Parts: sequence; C-alpha cells; structure tokens
Amino acid sequence: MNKNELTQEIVFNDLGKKQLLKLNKEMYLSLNLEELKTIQNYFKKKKRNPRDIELETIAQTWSEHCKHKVFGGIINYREEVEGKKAKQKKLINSLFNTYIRNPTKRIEKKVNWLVSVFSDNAGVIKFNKDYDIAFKVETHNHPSALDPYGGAGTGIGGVIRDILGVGLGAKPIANTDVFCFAPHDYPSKKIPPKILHPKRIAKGVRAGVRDYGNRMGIPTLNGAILFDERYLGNPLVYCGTVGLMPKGLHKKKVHPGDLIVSVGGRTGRDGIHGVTFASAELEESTPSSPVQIGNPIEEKKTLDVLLQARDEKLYNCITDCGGGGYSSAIGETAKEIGARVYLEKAPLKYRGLKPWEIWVSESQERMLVAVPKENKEKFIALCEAENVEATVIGEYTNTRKLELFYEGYMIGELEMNFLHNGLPKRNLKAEWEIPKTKEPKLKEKNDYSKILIQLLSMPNIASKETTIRQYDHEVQGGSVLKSLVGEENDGPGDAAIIKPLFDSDEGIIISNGINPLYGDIDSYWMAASSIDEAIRNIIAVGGSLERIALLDNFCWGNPERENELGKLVRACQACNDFSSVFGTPFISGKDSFYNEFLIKKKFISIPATLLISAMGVMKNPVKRISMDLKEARNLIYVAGNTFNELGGSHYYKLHDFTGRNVPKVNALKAKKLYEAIEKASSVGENNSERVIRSMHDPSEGGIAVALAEMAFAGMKGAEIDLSRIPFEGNEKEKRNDVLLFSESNSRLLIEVPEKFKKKFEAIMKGNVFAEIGRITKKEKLIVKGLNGKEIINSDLRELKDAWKKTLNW
Amino acid sequence: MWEIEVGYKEGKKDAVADSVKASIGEDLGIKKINSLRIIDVYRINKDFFETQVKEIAEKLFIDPITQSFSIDKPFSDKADWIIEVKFHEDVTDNVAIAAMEGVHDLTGLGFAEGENLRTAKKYLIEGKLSEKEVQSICKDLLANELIESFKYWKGKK
Repeated sequence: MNKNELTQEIVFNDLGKKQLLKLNKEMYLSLNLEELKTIQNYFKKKKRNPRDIELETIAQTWSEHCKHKVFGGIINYREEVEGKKAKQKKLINSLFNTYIRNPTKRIEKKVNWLVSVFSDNAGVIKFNKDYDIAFKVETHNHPSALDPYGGAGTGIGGVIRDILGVGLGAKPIANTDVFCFAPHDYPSKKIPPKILHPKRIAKGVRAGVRDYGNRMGIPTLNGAILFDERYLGNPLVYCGTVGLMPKGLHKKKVHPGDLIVSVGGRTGRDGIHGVTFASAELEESTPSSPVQIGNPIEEKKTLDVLLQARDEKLYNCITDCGGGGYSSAIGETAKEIGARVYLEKAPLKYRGLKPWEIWVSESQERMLVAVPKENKEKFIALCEAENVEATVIGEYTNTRKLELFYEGYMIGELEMNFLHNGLPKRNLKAEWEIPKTKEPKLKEKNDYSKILIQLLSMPNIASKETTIRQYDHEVQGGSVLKSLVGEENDGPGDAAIIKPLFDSDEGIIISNGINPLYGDIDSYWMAASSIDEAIRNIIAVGGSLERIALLDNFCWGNPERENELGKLVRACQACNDFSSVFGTPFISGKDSFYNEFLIKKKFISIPATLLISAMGVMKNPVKRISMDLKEARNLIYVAGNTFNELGGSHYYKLHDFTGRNVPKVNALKAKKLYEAIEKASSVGENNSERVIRSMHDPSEGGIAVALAEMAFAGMKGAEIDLSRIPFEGNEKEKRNDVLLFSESNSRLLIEVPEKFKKKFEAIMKGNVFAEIGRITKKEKLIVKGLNGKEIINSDLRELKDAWKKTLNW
Repeated sequence: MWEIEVGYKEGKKDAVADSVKASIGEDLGIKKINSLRIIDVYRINKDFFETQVKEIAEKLFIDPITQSFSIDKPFSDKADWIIEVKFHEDVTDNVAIAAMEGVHDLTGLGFAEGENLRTAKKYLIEGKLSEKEVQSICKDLLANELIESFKYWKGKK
C-alpha cells in the first residue's frame, strides 16, 4: 500500500447539517448531529480535516456500547400520577448514577465484601479469605439474529474474555445463559424475508452456546428461555460468566513504557462496525460484516497461557478486545496516559486490510496486555511454548495522546481528553403514562386440571431439559446443586450451586429473574419482581440474603421514543428502591438499545426486558435444598401472602389477556420472611434432622404450577386445600383461579416433616405462612377448592409428560 | 489442488445426518426423505504427492472404524439430490484452520502465502423432492446465506 491508500482524509469541517448526517450513515458511525458537530469543532481548532481512522475511533469510543449515553444522559421525565391531571416532572442527570450506582454506594458503607464495582469488565465481590469472585452478563442480540450459531458462540466467548480481563485476570468457572425468542411454532409463511425462523434461531443459538461453552471446559449452570412474538426479528441472547480470582488481583494499572501486546486470535475483517451496528435498528439491508466467527480452541489456549502469565506476574494490565476491537481496548487502557500503536504489526488472517479496519475489527479471541519491557522475552516465550500468538503492536506513553502509525507514517492523532471527555451529554425526553389495560372477566370453572396441563405446556413454563442436557454442567467438577434435580433428574431447580475449591467449603449460588410480561403493565413492578425472583431463587436453594450481588441487563427498544425511555426510567427507579431495601447491591450491568425491527415499514419493539442475575455466597453448600418433594406424610407450607395479582400472568396469557393487577413487592416484609426461611434452612445436618426438606418458588403459573413441579420432580403426590392459603385483599376477589395462578412475589412453597412442625412455626413466627396440605403416597396432585370440592385431580405422569413435550426438540 | 471427501461407511450410524434429516421433517415439514448422508469435503490448495494426500486423509481426516474417503473423485454420487454448502471466502473457517495445523504437524509442510485449505459439506439426499423443496432445505436449514453459499444438483441413481 502506498501512503495515500493507507488513510483517507475525510472532507468534514465544511459540511453542513444534512451532509454530516449523510456521511454518518454512509460510514456507519451511528452518531447524532450534536456529536458530529462536536467532532467538527475539534478538528476546526486543529485546522485540519479528520482522517477515516480518527472518525472511526471516535465513533467506536462514543458508541452507545462503550459510553452508555442513554444511562449517562440528561433526561426530562414526565410521569402520569394516578388520580392527578398534571404530570409529575423530573430532571434526571444520569439514570446510572441516580438509580444504579447510588444504592450500591449506600450499601458499600455497610458491608465489607464489595471489591470492585462498576469500574472494570465485571463486578467483583469477596468469596472467602483467599479468593474473590467476578460476575458479568453480556448481551449479543443483533449478531445472533443474523447468524444464531456464530452470534451465540461469540457472545459466550466475549463474556468469558470479560472475566479473563477483569482485574489482572479471573478464571471462568461457570456460565449462565438466558434467551428470548419468538414462539417456536410461529407460522413459516408469516416470517418476513431475511428473518430466520425462531425455531432455527433457537436451535442455532443453543448449538452455539453448547459448542463454545463445552469446548472451553466451563459448565453452563443456569439459564432461562422465554418466548414472545415481539422477539421475532430481534431475539435476545444474554451470556454470563462467573470467575474466580486470588485476592488482591482486582487492581491493574498501565505504566508509560509498557508494551502493548496482542494475544490470541488474528485480526480479520469479521465484526467490523459491530458496536456502531448495535446502536442501529435492524433493517432488511443490514450489512454482513458484523458477523463474527468464534474459535473456542483458540480462546482456551489464550485463557490458559494468560492465567500462567498472571501467576508469574508478567504483565501490569489486561483487557479484552471486545466491541470496538483494538480501538476500544487500547483507547480505554491508555485513557490516563497515552499510547502509540504500529498497526502494521498486528497479525492478520489475510492480506488487504486497511489500517482503520485492523484498528476497529472485532475479530474474536484477542486479549490485550500491558507488558513491562523487561518481561517481554519471558512473556513471548511463554506464549510461544503454548502455541499462542503474542505480538507487540505498540507502547503506552505519557503524551496523553493516541498516536496511530502504519509503516512509519502517522495516520491518526487524537487527544485522550477529547476522546474520552469530549462527548456531549445526551438530552433525552421520557414519558410514562398509566397503561390502559383492564382486568378481564374470566368465568370460574369447576375443574382446573385441564388449565394446569395447558399452563405446564406453555413454552415459558415447559421443561428446558432438551436444551440443558446439551450443555456440560459437570466439567470442573464443582456443581453441588444442578439445574435439573429430583427423583428422575428432570425437575426444574431454582438456582445452581457450585463449590469451586476442593479445599474450602464455600459455594456460589447463581440465579436469575426475568419477566417481560409484567413490563407490558408497569416496568417498575417488572423490575421489582425480577429482583425479588432472583433473590428468592437463592433463598429457595438454602442460600442467604447476607451476601447477594446483582447484575442488571436492560434490553430495550429505541430510547428516542419517549414512552420506551419512560419505561426505562420506571425500571431503574425500582432497581434503586429494591436493591436498597434488600441490601443487594448492583455490581455490574449492561444495556442494549434499539432492539426493534422493521416489518412492512412498521417498527416493532421488543418487550422492555430486564434480566436480573444474582450471585450469592453460601457458607456451607451441604445445606442446599432442592425443589423436589422428598417424603410422603410431610407437611406442605406456603410462606408469604397471595394477592389478586393475575396481571401479566401466564394464566391470563393463556386466555390472551394482559390484565392490570401486576404483582408487586413489599421488600421490607419479604426481607423479614427470607431471613426467617434462611434460619429454618440451616437447621440440621443429616436429611433426617433438616427442618426444610424441599422448597420452590411460585413464579410463572403460580402455586398450581410450582406445586405440580415439586410433585412430579419428586414423583410424590400432594394434596392441598386452597382455603388455607393466606390471601390479602378484597374477599370478593378471593377465587380459586386467583389462589391457584396468581404470580404474587415473595412466596415460597416449603416441605416440612411433621415432627418439626413446632420448630418451623416458631422460627417463622411474625411472618405470614400457613400449612396448606400434605405429601401423599399416590402419584397424584389433588387440590381442594374454596367450596371444599376437588378442583384439580391430576396424574403426576400426565402432568410431567405435558410439561416435557413442548420443547422436546 | 487436491480434494478429499470423507463419509461414513455403509451401515454405520451418522448421528449428525440423522438429526438433519429429522429437522427437515419436523421444522420444514418435508417428510419424503428416505435417507440423508453427509460428506465432509477438504480442498487443499497446495502441491502434494498423492501418497501424502492419502496419508493426510487416513491419519487426519477419518475415523478408520466408521469412515472412509476418496481423493479427487466424489465419495458417492448415489442420491436424488446433492447439496453443497461452504463458507464465503472471507469468513473464518475454523475446521480448515485446525486441518491446516494438522497437515503441518503431520507432514512438516506449512501453508505458504497463496496456499490454503478450505472445507465444505455435501448432503446426499434420497427421496422424491421437488427443486423448490431442495431450495427450501438449503435456504431455511442448511445454509445461512449471510456467511455461507450453497449449490445443488441431481445425483446419479
């Protein structure tokens, strides 16, 4: 290449509004006019036009993916208040600081186990006296829509590198994956061109997760799969990883003079503009270059050699090349000091890449480390011995500038201060209006056995065994409580527990909470419910409220639509309120916007979807509790009140209604209840001494579905009486279907041996709970209704078959 | 340029092929397929002697218990339809990368600038399918046209 081909000066400084926006579109910069003008001013002061590589660098660094412009922006928020005409107005300066980081800061003053929050690739908390644990969940939605197999695989690969790149490097020990698809039986004829059938996407994503996760030797321990038509053109793929790191390694710092070393995969044209693409709506003409192909074997080698180098203290800093490739990784690590990069040195997959392409490519399996000069030989030799490519591509400086070279020519020069602090704050408008949905009037039935079968076969509730079984959940030998439990190893566990160290007792509990249906009524209560669900799943397996860390993952539509952003504000407010009361801080998070797609010139937004992932530390995993019923004659209790909260429930969905009474959360009461249950869970060493033998949380499908799951997981019958279930609210609304299917939060079904009745009730005193029935020897689920008559009498085998059939593909 | 084709021996179970066949029936509703076989194709763009290619195929690409191979001729063309799927040129082909490393380890000969190895998959289908159905199998199941291309032709019966 001659000098003129290396880089191109872009005619920029003299462009007007329209021309700037045109250029923005042509170059896939995904910036707005204000941002483009800020760049123009910068280069006007420099008295020159920008070069292509400089504009690319700024676009990558200022992308939504890297700078979280919506969460950091200034929002003019208006909210409709029940019974009032005037809307309540509020100016919010940074959703993130106000509602996510602030509660964590408050909690940080009271607890001593937060190690590194919101400052690195992942959140880190204390595990035991020698180790810390890191947790991160990423989204990889748009790539998975285009190439489900590759998209999901690279999603996993990316979050694993986040963990490897946190502090000085953590060892990945568990994965968790949550997917949202359109229904698998969506009619093929209704699928618009260029959109893959949801079942094909589901199968591809599953295979991608399987092949990448299994080959990396990391167990996939937890997850969820949800279905809704609005995910048709825009599926969601959440990938999470937990990592273990020796104490004291959470800090890293680059020094001027350190060498910038690229380790692992080579750079190709794959994944160019992935980050800026993630900030654009999917259209039929979407380009193919954002597709990345992952190579787990390459990543495994890179992981292993870097952990060795970490232990030999050969580098000062490590980070992953994720979104934005080198440009983001180097730009971020050199933020405070400066860097000089020689792009011709980067190892390439094939010839012909332009310097800017090398700079922003998102090729997979690449890590970036800062190696002090004196360790260079040792570091390179170690990598060579393990057959991993390591190449010095530049050095950190103290110029506070980013300087890019190609074969001796300077092709880009940007000031770090402008690159990182020059981005104007975004001003956005948000509005929340009380939704107009109404409660339907459903007729009461004399028998609900059929409805129960229908609920169990709904894809959101149905068994995910076919998927779970394709994942390795045993590798590394630490899983103490598995995803599938019970008599026939197929019951749906509430959360997974791993014990990562052989010579230490502590365990890690991983769970999640997600329910986009509630968001159709009120995103505030959706977020509250998801937080409560993630926490109560940890309580359900015998965990403790004492040390639970949360991650937030928002997948939303277009934030420039005021109602979409209004929903986001509501959800964030709930994050603030509920993490504060529960004492469960957020330690890391991720947002993904513009999750909408165009069909016949109409934009369809995904449901506002918030995934709450929770990680709890368990002192003694021997005290784990699984959800399958254990022994005939034991008593069945329900803890927590049931309300008339069928809004957003699966019972309503089955009848094609949304409803209005969305489940709410009373965090103070819930906290007290969980603390009592936690106490009861810890009683007894052997099974015969345990006060609680099994526990499960009623969520999708309510008490009826939860009890059915407990019964067929243990293949033990159960008989309960609905009139004994504690109900709060208008007595007129106390109906059989409400008691059976309401999805009220903060409730648990608990199995207690009769001999511990007094002990259990003494521990639970001061909380709402009731004995509602017994375990039987017959393989039947029998429910007595409010009028004393049987309203469900079902064979367990029949229930289980219905539950297992839907997703058995 | 050498071409090695690898397939299962007569009567040996190919689980992947079975699941592809099942998916065509369940997901696309095309149930007229009597049998489906998958052939792995390795195209080596580098000079070798035939004995070397034979060694590469035997020691690297096949499981000698269940599979066998052919060099520079189709492993089989006994089918109603034959479909070939491969990655576009600029898409990373991991199997090919691993195969090149294997060839290097086995023969001591690496791939120089301009030389390479690429893979493809052939699907041999027996069943009375219309061309439209074959196209649907290609587009809706076997190939993602964003990263892969396909072609199909009639086999010999």
